[in-house]
This record gives sequence, structure tokens and C-alpha cells, in this order.
Amino acid sequence: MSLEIESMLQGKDIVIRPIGEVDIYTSPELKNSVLSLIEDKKTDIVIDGESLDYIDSTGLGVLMCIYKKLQEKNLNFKIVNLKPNIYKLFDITGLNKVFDIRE
Amino acid sequence: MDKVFLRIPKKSEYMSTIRLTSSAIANLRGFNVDEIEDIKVVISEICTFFIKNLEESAKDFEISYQVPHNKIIVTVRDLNDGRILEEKLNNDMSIMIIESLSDKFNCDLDNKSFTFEKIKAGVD
Repeated sequence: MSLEIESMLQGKDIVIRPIGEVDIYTSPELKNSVLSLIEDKKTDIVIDGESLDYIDSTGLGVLMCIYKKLQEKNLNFKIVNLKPNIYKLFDITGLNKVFDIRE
Repeated sequence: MDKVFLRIPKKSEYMSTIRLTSSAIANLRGFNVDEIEDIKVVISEICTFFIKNLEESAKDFEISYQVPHNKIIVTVRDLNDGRILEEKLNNDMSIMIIESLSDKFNCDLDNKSFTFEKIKAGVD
């Protein structure tokens, strides 16, 4: 399974929906796609995890990188709709306390 | 006790193949969905750790699965030359995840060989 990335404007936010698996092979695609959106649009970012089936430590690192980039620009970052098996990794690594994660 | 061996290129594009193979073996041996997910994540993080910390990649990963009745024992060896410094284990997100999700974990940096065990719920 590979990764597809959908993005849409919702109100003043850009919602990014990764579909599939974010791992050491696919995470550069997510990073480049979101960072270029931040540069172009300069808006808050929401990651919708509804169709995210798997994420590894490199994927979590990419989310951290996106978070830092948005902080530099005084923009907000939110993660929604994570599946329980995915949320577990945020919990283990303590990133659930760093990111704004909502159901 | 059945043993399964997988020898696969040390390339990031094979990570999903490694996860799929691991899931299939764990499923065949009766692990539940949550345990299969943990096994898949741990194997993937071990391979990711080797890819991140040992640049040489001409040789393969060698993964062995042993499944006694109540657990799975998985060893991942990076067959490439080179050395991984012990300090790489500190504060590494992969290691944090591996230690949390496995029931027993041993890393042999000299042989570039990591082994973990996952115990099946409800089986003595």
C-alpha cells in the first residue's frame, strides 16, 4: 500500500488527508507536499487521519517538522480523526501532549 | 516449532512488504488484531532504525520468525558492514516505540541484530 495525499480548503484551514501508509519511504512525499502548501497559502493546517492506516517514527518526525514550521509563522496545527492504533504511537512518544489532537 | 526466514533488500520501498509478511505470519499463528498491529510496528521500526543509522545498504535484511505456541520471536539482522554507535539508541523514537510495544527486546549492536518477543494474550 502506498500513500495518497488529498488537500482541501475548509473555511480558513487547509485540511490534509493522508490516505494509506506514512513510513520511511512515503514520509518525504507528505513533508514536501505540506511544507509547500504552507509556503504557498500561509494558512492553518489540519491533518485528517480518517484514512491514515499506518504511521512510523519518520512520519511522526514529519508531523513535528510541520508543527515547527507553522509555529515559526504563527499558524496553527491540528490533528483530527486518528484511529486508535495510530493514536497509540502519539501516546507512546509523548507527542499527544505536543500536538492539538481532536476526535 | 515452525521457523520462517525472510531475506529482503535493505531499501525503504520494501517496508510495506515486510509489514505485510509479518502480519500474515502473526495472523496465521493466531495473534489478535492489536497484537498483529504491534508486531508489524515493531519490525518496521527495527528496519527503520537500521536504515537511519547504518548507511551501507548493498546487503540485505535477514528476518527470522519463530513461533512457539504462546509467542512470536522475531530477529532482524542487517547484513551490511559498518558500525552503529551505542549512543544512537538514546532518545531514539524507534527504540522508544519498540520497547513499549514488545514484551522482550534485545539489541546486539556488534552483530547488528535486534530480537523481540510478543506474547499471545490468554495463552500460558
